[in-house]
Amino acid sequence: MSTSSSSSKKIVLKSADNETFEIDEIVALESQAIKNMIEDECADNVIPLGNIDSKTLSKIIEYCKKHAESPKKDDNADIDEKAVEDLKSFDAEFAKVDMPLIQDILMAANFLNIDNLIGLMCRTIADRIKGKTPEEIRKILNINKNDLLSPEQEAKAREENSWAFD
Amino acid sequence: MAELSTEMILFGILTRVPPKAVGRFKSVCKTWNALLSGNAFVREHCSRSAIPSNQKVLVIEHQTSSIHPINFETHDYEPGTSITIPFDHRSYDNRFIVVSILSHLNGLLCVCNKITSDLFLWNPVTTAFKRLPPPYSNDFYKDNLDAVGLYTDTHDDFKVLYIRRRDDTLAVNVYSRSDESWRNIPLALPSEYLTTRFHWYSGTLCGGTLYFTISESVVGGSNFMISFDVNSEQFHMTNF
Repeated sequence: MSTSSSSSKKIVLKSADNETFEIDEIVALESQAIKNMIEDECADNVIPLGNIDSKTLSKIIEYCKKHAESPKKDDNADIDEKAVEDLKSFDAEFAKVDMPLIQDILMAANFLNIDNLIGLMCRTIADRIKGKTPEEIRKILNINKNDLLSPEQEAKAREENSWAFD
Repeated sequence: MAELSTEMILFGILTRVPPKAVGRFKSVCKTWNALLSGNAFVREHCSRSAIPSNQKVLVIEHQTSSIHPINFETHDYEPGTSITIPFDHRSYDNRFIVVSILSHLNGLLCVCNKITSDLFLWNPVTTAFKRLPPPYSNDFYKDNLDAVGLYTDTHDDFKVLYIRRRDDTLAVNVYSRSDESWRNIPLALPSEYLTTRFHWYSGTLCGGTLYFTISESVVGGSNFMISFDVNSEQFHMTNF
């Protein structure tokens, strides 16, 4: 990387399936984990992300780009409401993907420590599961069979929370 | 991939589902049951629920009681659904509802029956309720004399502070939900404030202190405030 100013410094990420993504440093800073690496000067080479596949990583970069570009609340107290609305509708569109990808994005966002994205994915999953029965939840989220309550425990949990089942 | 294994992530998701889903999800598996029953979850879920779009109004009128969503644009509340009060709440002739809401905290209401003078803790979402054991053998809660304030202590125990005035004497007791019992707390005040000339309002909890406003029910009368530090259990008096 030649004599570019710090604002256009590039960071290179490599996904589990060996695809590389070159992004502006400002975009990478949305991730607290990468930010820490940059501050510790450990981000000069390619950053390998061995647990994130390219499909998930490109979604995450899409999110970070949009959020890095949009004005931050603390930059300017009276940022126009349009920017806020714009970001809101971006987030809503962004979350319209299938459940396995949502879960992958959430795990990756957790690893990369991207607070807003963790919140968005948690909200999205919460919205999708809130009306489901316990049986449906076990299926959707692949709950481990060894973790199921005993029939007596389950009967008790249902009895105590019968108000929640009508 | 990806069971949502790490507890942090599960915590982030489940603290964002509505109360009814919490009740239902306790049957999903052992991990969820333990997580949803823990104090840390309850605290976080309460604080997330306290956003304006989740707020509802419970209206108890002479003959009906109902829950309404609030419309923050029109500053009005919307048509609601009627709710059944699950404990003794009607006048002897069965015509009127005789309970009134004294205070609320974390989704629990403290309600009194004005005829029997009983106090109840009531969760209108789960319909669970508890009639508090009376700390004295005679009449319990008198709406025009007594006051309550609700708080949680550092161990997340839910407490009811009950201030009782009878014949110009004052008694303060605190009810612990986990011990299911009352304990006396000393409070001395100038005797003039104990008379029926002064009205005590329910306590408001703010940052670890319960504030009670007390006003003299005459034109130009004096007002003051008693604050109760929920950690040190000390009272302080402020004049306006």
